[in-house]
Amino acid sequence: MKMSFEIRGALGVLRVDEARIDASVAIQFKDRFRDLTQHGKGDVILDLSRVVFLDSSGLGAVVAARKLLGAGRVLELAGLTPAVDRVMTLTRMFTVFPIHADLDTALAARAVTP
Amino acid sequence: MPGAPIIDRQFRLISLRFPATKGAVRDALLTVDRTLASAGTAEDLRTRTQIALAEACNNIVEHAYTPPGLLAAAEIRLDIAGDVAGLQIMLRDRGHPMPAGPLPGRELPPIDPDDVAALPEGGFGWALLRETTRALSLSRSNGQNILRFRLPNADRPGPLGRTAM
Repeated sequence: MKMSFEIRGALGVLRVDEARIDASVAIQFKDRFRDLTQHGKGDVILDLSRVVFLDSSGLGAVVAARKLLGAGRVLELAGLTPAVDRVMTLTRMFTVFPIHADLDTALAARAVTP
Repeated sequence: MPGAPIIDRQFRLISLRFPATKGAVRDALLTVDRTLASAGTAEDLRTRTQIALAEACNNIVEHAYTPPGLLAAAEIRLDIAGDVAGLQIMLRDRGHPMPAGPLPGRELPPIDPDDVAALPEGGFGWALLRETTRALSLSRSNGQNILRFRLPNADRPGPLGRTAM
């Protein structure tokens, strides 16, 4: 599962370099997310701009990732492609995750220079 | 005969058989998307097709073919036909039947954004399937589960309140 993590100011940016987060990789996504974020302290932006498809198992893994951060850290989503946006909307995930059009917008909202 | 109205015609678009595994489901969905794209299917309908098929197929992988059973022979058959109103999907498997009673509805699991530890990690599958499909039915015949549903060209109800199907 190709994912990378980068510290940007007080934030962590986690980029997913996979086209699909589906049932076949949901557990890998969760494990990799934990490995990449467990030593940080700040909020995390999940850059999904390269992900073209997410199923309910993938969604469950993103929720699990949010829970791994705990109540003290926030997980924000950026760069939802049409199918991912559709799944997030149908499951009302905008009540759980702050969602940004793209990574630059998400960083700007936190006053981090893109 | 020439000039016959095309409106009643249904044409076969896709017929696939694949193992009931998560990896094979992913490959099948990619094949479906490529085939629909080359047939000129609109992106919005392709998106709904991907969402609905992913949930329907993963239900089969996770629930229909649980042990005991011949998992090595577990297979899903997928047929997609097109007509003027959209796509007609048929999925067949030889796994366990669904439990008796009505099929799950479109209800989402309870979500309390303020209670992070209690956020639901599952229970979204049937809601996504229901929200993206119409005329969904499940039957059982000769040891086979047959799931049928429609994916209309237009996602929203028409001016008469319902999309004709």
